[in-house]
Amino acid sequence: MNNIIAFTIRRLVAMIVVVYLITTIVFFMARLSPYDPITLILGQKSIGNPLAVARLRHLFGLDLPLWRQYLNYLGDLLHGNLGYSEEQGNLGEPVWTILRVGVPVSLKLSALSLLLSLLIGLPVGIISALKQNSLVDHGSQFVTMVAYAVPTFVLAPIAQLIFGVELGWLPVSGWGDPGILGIKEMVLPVGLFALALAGFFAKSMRSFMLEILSQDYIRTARAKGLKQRIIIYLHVVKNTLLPLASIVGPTAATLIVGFFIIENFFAIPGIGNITVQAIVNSDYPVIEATTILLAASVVVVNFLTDIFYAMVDPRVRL
Amino acid sequence: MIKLPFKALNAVVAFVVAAAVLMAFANHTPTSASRTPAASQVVRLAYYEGENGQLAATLDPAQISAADDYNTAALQYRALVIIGTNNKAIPDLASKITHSKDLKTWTFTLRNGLKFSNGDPITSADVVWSIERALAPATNSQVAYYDNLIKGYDAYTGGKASHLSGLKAPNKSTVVVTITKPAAYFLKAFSYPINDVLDKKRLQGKEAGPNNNYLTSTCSGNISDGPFKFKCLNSSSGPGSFYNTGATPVYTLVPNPKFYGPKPKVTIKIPALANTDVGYKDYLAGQVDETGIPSANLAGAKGRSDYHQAPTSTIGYISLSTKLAPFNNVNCRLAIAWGLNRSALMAVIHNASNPLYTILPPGFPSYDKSILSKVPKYNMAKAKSYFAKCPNSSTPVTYWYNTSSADSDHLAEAIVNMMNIVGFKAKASGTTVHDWLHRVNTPLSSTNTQAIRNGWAQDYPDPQDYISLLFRCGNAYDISEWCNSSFDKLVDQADKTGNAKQRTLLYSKAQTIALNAGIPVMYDNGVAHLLISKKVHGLGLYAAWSDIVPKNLDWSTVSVS
Repeated sequence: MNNIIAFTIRRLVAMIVVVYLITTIVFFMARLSPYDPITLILGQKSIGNPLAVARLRHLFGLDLPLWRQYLNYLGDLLHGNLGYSEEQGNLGEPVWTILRVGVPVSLKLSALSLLLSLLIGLPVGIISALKQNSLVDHGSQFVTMVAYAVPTFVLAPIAQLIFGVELGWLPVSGWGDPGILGIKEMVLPVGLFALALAGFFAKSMRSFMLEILSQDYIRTARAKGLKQRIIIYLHVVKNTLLPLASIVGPTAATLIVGFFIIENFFAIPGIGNITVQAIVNSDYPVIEATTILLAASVVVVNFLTDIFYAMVDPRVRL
Repeated sequence: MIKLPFKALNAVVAFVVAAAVLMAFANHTPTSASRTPAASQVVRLAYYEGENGQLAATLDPAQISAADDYNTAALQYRALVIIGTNNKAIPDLASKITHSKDLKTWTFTLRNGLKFSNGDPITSADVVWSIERALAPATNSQVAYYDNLIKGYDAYTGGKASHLSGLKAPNKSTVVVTITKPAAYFLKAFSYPINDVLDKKRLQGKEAGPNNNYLTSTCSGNISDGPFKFKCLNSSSGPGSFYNTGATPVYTLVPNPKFYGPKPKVTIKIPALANTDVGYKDYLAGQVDETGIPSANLAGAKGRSDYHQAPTSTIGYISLSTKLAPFNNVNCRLAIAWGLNRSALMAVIHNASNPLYTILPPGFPSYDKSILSKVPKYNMAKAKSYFAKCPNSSTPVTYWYNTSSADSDHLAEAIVNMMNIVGFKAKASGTTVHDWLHRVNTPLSSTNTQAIRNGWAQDYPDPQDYISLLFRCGNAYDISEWCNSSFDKLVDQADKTGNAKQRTLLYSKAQTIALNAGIPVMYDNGVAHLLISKKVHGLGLYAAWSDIVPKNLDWSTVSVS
């Protein structure tokens, strides 16, 4: 128990350092950009309007020296203030209120995708391993390889054309509508997002299964006359949990990258879309906040994976 | 071989198949025209196509500068005058407009019985309050200058006066506007949304400054006097008052029963569409009723029966710095002006636009095709002869453009190739929209920019908005820093001339002078290419509007089958 507490404290300190470093890097990288968000807000209206430019610059503290801006930024962060949007459509809007809308959307998208990918990937991997070198194995290996290898930005427009434009079964964009439309809107983005992950899980699960199936204790179990179902459930699948945990955790990073593509293709108002809009509009506070949020998510998920790892396998020492 | 024990797997597969079948059947069949009740007729407009998946930058008339926001504002807010689909300023909330002989005093009489959507009466006090609110220093409007003709503008916007002296409400139904100089374009400039009428009773005390997006963020704050009003989910502030948070952003507008004119029969939905590709796919999938067409799909789309095209007032041209070599010499500028093969350039972009030789595009007020014979067009022999007289012709030239699209890249490459065929040592330099905006917003010499792609679209349909505003010496938009006293005299005279023929003549002379000085080098006039669903009736494309609207802005004529 003491080990877990000490480990948790060590990791928490490391996490804070990592997030702080990311915060600093992102802050200065954003400021290194040659583009002035105020000119962007005002556009051509900034011509001959120095007063308006100065007012806005002052409003966002951009007239202060860089070091002062940085200290203010850190101070605000420590007080839970992520700043205010500098993009014309959300001008002056607290960044948190923007993120508050996007985070649940991305969480829903990723949770559903992860769940679906596990529901598809794990059984396929198990079947593939149990029927090693059969037609089923070769077929599923081919499909999972394609699902894993073909990028989502290639699959998405093809799926939109087939299921949205040609067949007219599913919407090609949109999210969050009520009723059956809302469910239909989820099918393509969740399905495509899950597909790539399912390919990865299926391939990994097949490898884990094959390795365990070749262990001596499995042969012993068979020699003892245990039923096939018991061998698979109790001795094989159970022992794949540990390596499985080691790949599901880092998949969080893949999920985050996926946000940017899927949300953009399907007009989903999640964190990926918010980030892309912020980058296009040089909305520094939002870029900084989303980057910190995403980085912190990866760090936290990795931490939780380590904890889970230790809980599942008593041999692991923290 | 091991026998599989997993019946559960079969159940999962069965579930997925069943779900797919249900989805297919859930795709409801379309209703026929005769069965579509008026209340359920929904028109889905792609006004916010290409805005990175966002809706209005602002819904506050005091801040509107983007065409999409302008279109949305016109659905719910109206001013004393509006630009009609015939490109003319027509009375809107005003029933009668008169002016003094010297064109300096304008009297507007409000229609009888005008009401806001909440039932509040619309009076001249609302008009005066709305305009003063928009121009108040605290509002920090970036578009206040549309009203800079009104007497007392400088004092009021500069915070030196508490009221706009040129704006009076002598009684409940009359508004009198006094302007500082006679200007033939006053009514058109006065139609800009900054003069839209808001409900004083409801909005007094709500600032319109950039740090207070009350109208943009609060659905219920938008009290309409136009044909539609927002359908609000609640009275709070934030996107959740317009649409379900967590859902793709969309505005829903329903008919305003208090509107003075014919009442619309349709509900309007305006979704946020990330770009034209998304809009195009949404249209093909039946999710929106109109869309722009990505240029790569233009050739195929032109054969469709739902394809529409219309001229626009968008112009494209090259700005050359008169302060930097080699274009500080008129011969060097003219070598470019005569060396550009505009028709070939348009072919590069799939003929998505038309070649242009004059500052005013065809169909625009005061457009005069008789000057075509007097202005530069493609003639390589002439281009070479001017190049021979260009004193610093060996100076390397950088042509700047924004890399916003593949078309933009292709066009820049073609322009630079043509410059090099003339004899220049030119190269194209693509830059971001941000940097490009910075360069076209400041005198070219201050950013060491010799040549840059430039463009303009109308603020209001008047030649003053193009010729005088962009090229008169000393104006902020004269980024070439070109000065010519004859040109200036002509445009000053034209700006205040009421007689249309005389005005056209003056502007034509001014254009001839500018174009023969290589200021600017015109090359394209945008064309709008749209697909409009055949289920939607009564909407069309007009040069004065950047997206589809009904003829004479009469939304009661729009229906869905």
